[in-house]
Amino acid sequence: MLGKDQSRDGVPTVCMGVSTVSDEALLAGLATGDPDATADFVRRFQSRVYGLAVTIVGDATAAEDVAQETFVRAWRHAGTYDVRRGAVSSWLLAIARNLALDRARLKRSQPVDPDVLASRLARQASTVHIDDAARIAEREQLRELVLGLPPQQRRALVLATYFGRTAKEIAELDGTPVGTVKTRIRDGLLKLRSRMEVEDGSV
Amino acid sequence: MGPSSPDCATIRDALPELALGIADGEQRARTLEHIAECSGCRRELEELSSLTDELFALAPEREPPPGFENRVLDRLAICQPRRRATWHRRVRRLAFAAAVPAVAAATALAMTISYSSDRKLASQYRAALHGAHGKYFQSARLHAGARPLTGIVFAYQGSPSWLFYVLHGRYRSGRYNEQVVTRSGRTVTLPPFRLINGTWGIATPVPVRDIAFVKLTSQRRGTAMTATLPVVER
Repeated sequence: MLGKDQSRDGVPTVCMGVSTVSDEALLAGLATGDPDATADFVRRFQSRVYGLAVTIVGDATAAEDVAQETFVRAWRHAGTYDVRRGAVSSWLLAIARNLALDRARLKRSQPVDPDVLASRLARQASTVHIDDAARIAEREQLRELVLGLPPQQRRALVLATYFGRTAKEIAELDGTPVGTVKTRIRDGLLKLRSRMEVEDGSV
Repeated sequence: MGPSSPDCATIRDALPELALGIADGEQRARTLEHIAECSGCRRELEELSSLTDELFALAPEREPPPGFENRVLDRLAICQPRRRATWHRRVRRLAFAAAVPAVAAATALAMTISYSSDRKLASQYRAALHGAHGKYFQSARLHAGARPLTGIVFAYQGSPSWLFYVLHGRYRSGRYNEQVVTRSGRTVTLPPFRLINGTWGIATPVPVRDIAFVKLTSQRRGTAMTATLPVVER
């Protein structure tokens, strides 16, 4: 048995805080059905998932359904998540977005005006989950760039991103040729990318 | 197929829509077929996709309605019949825990056996656990060699995790050394303690879920008692 002196020093440091566990580790726990990891996973991502769902579908009840279903899907497919294909949060938000878009398409409605939505982007975002200051700055920068796009490009991009509208649907909605809409989406996205790269200093 | 292939320019025009998930089926199939062979276009799609991921993440966060987390966990439990059964078994096993207030560090426990229905019990149990970010609460009998029962250890998996001992008979007094052995086989020695009215509690640096068994050794008599903590089924 270890002596008294070792009783304090001999206790290795054990990480007990939830926040110290990586997203990937929590997802792995979810995949194996670990009850602690599952609860932590839900707690960590619920406001982002619900936020995206409510942005897309508009009403709270439908958004909760979507958000719940997102976690059920994540749980079902957690075993197939591949870390090389991007961050856990991106993977989860992509699930949420697809489910929300399906729901929004069913309703055939456009709950929020795309211009209003663009102005709201991330403004209310809490920073609780993003402990990396650089990422916060990057996100803010991306928001500014979206707002700074020419109005028609911004509208096409917001309709495509948050409402899942295809180029054809946007063309019909706005009475614009499909080719023009495709160009707006493409130019808008490429502009965001090149400006993000410039700001990063990577170009 | 290299990036200079005549197809690449056409394909690259279509990549933004693919990254946004709004490409139609035919366009999608054609593009995917191309990028399977073309690393340049594949990289381009990856870059655009990480940008669109960032765009999705710009959606403002919002706290879901109260109880959301529990509703999700309930749904996951329904999806997984075994876990539900485990939950019920666990609740029955811990029937006495219903009235136990969760405290940050164990100093004393007042227990009342409740004969509520499982449902009510489960709800009370959750509420009690909520007090200290708890995940579950369990108990195990302490044995000293062949003696069937010398006491009970209660273990709370939460933040912090804690252990609380209730010792019987002649084991009710004295000083004890305390060790926990983790499921990976590591022995961690905790500070020795003196029993107060046959009870003692400590916040443990090792999460309860990682503890395989606990061992108490009487400093005076040298008697060792152990208790094996139940594995929480996964």
